Amino acid sequence: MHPPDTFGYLLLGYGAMFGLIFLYVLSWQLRRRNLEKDLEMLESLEEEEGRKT
Amino acid sequence: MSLSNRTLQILNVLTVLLLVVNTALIFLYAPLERTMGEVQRIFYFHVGVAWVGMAAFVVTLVAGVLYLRTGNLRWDRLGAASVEIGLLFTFLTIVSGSVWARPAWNTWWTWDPRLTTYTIMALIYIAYLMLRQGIDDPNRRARFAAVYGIVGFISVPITFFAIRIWRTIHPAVIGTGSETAQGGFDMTQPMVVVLLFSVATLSVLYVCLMANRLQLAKLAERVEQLKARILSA
Repeated sequence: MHPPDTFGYLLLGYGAMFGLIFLYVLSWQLRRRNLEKDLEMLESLEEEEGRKT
Repeated sequence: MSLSNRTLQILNVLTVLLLVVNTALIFLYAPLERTMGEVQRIFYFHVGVAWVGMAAFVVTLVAGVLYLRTGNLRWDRLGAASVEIGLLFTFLTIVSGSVWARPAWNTWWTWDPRLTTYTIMALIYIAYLMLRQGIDDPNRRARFAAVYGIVGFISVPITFFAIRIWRTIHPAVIGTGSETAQGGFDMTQPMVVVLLFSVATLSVLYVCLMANRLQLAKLAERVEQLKARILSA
């Protein structure tokens, strides 16, 4: 008896799983970039406040 | 889990290498299963991500208890990061299971007790993240999240034992010889080796993702503290 041809599903499964992991890690990069921008802006704001007082 | 940049880089590289070796073992070493064909190879990844996903929620439970005992926000960061990564593993389990189910059960999805409890568990932990978003005060947020993480954990053992408690079409992997295990199958020695290697690799992946996620959480906390300082000045 030959096993059924399910290789396409196997590729779909692994593709989807690694794709999800990749997208999740990519979302970190976006979050990190936004946080670094916020930090930069907040630090310059604090510096400005310090100069005023 | 605070690691230096160098250690983190080594961990990242090690994780990628382990994933490559694991994939090679699954595709080239694990024997072909005769009834299901190639798609059965999804099983090694599916079982691994399911176990590690549930372990991630155990970490949140422990972190919640430790936060309530010590009041240290470090435990809150750990618990929150573990929920996020646990949810990633939960989605990976659902996706891989769904793709496997299509040729095996002739459907992408069915409201079987295991799949239903699994969905409820995922929704409970999605709500955990939503709850955190809704509270600004860090200490209040940490306290609520810790209690929620402890109470929400009830869904994890219910999901794990669903295949023993209710009549289900989902196969049991552990203790297939027992009367309560339905739809189980016997694994050959190479299958067991690949499964154990997968579980170990995915555990390392979890640790790696946690270490990176905690670094991001620290940065977010710095921004939050600075914002609060400027607003109060």
